[in-house]
Amino acid sequence: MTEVESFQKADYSRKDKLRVFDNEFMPHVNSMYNFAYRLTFDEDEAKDLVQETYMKAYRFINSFQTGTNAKAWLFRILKNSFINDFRKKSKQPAKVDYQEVESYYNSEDVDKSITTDLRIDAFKDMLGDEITNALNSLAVDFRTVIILCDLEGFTYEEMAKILDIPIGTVRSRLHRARNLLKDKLNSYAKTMGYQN
Amino acid sequence: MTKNSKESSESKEGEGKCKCAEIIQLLVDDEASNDQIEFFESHTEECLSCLEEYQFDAEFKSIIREKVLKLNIPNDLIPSIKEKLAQYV
Repeated sequence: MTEVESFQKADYSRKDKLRVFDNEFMPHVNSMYNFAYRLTFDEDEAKDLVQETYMKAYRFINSFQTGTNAKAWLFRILKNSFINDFRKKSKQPAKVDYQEVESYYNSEDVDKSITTDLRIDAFKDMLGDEITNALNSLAVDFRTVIILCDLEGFTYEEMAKILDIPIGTVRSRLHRARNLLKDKLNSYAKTMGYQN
Repeated sequence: MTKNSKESSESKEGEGKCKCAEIIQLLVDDEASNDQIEFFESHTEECLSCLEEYQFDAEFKSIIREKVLKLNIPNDLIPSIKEKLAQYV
């Protein structure tokens, strides 16, 4: 299915299109910008990505059914725009190839490497900056599932549609992403003396 | 506890642990089925480590949600979207 394809197209008047745009799409601009920034780490690119997403959303608005999940629909367009356009011309250095990362972390070792002496209090004491930096340091595909699930509250089914992957992959990728984040935060906590 | 009953209890805990690793994530993400919830509730009457693992993961998720910094959108973002839209419409 393409990003804008759906089973039954709506046929909005110009007035309806603007109403849907203002009432259903614009309320998500904060979440969209935060997602775009966490993908690009560049304010200008994030703004461009959000603008482009909104323009695409308007252009293909007949594919959107009123009352369905506008936020998930917009996130899917944004994610595809990032992959298709922005990732290619990004100022960021090339990201680690996901397959490479996934096959490495799919090995049994990753679960064994997660320390068993984690203390939740150490994480509670950390600053927002420290936790944000740890999240930002994850490879983009691991970072993305944590953003979608933990920060934006999408369900596994919605995430599967946004990312074009099976639900089982959403689940396993999220499991590994959280373990990697715990591992990073635990190492950091030890370095900074949060844990004794 | 007799040797046999201890072995039986450990075996039960071990069997549950594998199944629980998956269920704990589903519970934390509010994706578990009623059967899975029922299984976990019954299992954690005897298995403290699975209960603690669930509590840790639930709290970890809430720390991430609360502490990751949210950015304010640039002041000119909404006006620029509206401007582009006006050009397009």
